[in-house]
Amino acid sequence: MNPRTLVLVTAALLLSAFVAATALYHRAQADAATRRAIDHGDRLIRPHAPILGDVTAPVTIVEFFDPACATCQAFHEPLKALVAAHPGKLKLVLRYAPFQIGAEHIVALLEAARRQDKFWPVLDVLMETQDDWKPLHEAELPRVWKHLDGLELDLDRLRRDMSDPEIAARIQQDEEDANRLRIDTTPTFYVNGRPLPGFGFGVLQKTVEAALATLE
Amino acid sequence: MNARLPADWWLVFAAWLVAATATLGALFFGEVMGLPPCLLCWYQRICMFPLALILPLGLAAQDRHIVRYALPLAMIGLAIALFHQALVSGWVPKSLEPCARGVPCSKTVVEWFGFLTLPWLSIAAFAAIVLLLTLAFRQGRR
Repeated sequence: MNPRTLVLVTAALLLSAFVAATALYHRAQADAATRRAIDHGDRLIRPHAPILGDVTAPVTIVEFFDPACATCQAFHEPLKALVAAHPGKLKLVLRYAPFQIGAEHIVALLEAARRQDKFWPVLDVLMETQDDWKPLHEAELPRVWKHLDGLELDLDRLRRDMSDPEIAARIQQDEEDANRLRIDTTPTFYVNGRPLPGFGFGVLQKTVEAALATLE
Repeated sequence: MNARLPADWWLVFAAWLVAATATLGALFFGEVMGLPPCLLCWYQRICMFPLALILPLGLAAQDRHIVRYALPLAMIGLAIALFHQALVSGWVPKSLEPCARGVPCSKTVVEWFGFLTLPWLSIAAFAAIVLLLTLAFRQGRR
C-alpha cells in the first residue's frame, strides 16, 4: 500500500468508528429515555394538565412545552391540526417545562387564564405574538398584556390568580416530573407513554399514525 | 505493511493515530454527549485538532518537514494540559483560574476507573505525540 492509500483507509476506519459509536450512544440514550418513561409513567399525565381533544381518546400525545420556546411555537398550529384530523381518537396533553428565561410568568398567565376558560384562546394569541413579547431571547410579561385585548378576560382577576400558590404548585409539579423524566429540551413528546424515536413533526406524525393504525 | 516506508514515517503515523483518536474523542464528548468544553479544553483542542489534519497530509506526501510544524503544536498542547491538571489538582491557586463563566476548568465531568480524568487523558495523548514526533525527528535526521 502506498502512504496515501494507507492514510485514507485509516481515516475512513477512524471515522466509521466514530459514526458507529455515535449511533450506539444515541440508541442507548433512547432506550434509557424509554425506560424512564415506563418507570415514571405516572409522571407523564397529571389530572391538572390541559387537554386538547376528546378526553377519552385512545391515542395520547403528551407534550412538555415552553410557551417561550420558538420550536414549540412552530409546532403549535400543526399539532392542533393533527388533533383535529382525528376526532375522538387523538388527544394532546400539555405539560409545562418553562426552560426559557422569564417563561415561568407566561405559564402562570396561562394557568390563570384557564380559570376563566380562556386557556386555548390565550395560548393561540401567545403563540402568534411570541416574537413580540420575547424580543431578545427572554420572555417579557409586560409586553404580553396588549395582546390579550379582545379576549374578554378579567385582567384584575388574572393578575391575582397568577400569584395563587395553587397555580405555583401545579407548575412545580410539572417541573418535578420533567426533571424525573430528565427532559432538558422542549418540546418533548410522548405518544401513548413512549418517547419519540427521533425529533421533528414528521416523526411525531408517523408515530401517531402508527398508534392510530393499531386501533383498527 | 510496507517495508519501503521509513521508520520515521511509521512514528508520525502512530502520532497521527493518537491525535485522531483524541480529536474524535473530544468531539464525541462535546457534540454527541453534549458535555460543554471548558476554556482550557478549548485551548487544548486548538493544538490537538490541527494535528489530526496536518499529520495525515504530511504522511500522504511523505514530507519529513511535517514534524517541524507538528511538534511545536503538540508541545504547546502538552503545556496547557499540564497546567489544566495542575489547576484541577489544586497545585495552582484557584485565583489563577482563567474561566470566570460557563464551565469551570476545575470541574471534573468524566472519571473512569477512579483516576482517569479528561485532563490526564489529554496529557497522555500530547505526551505520546511529543515523544513519537521527537523520535521521528531524530530518525529523519539520520
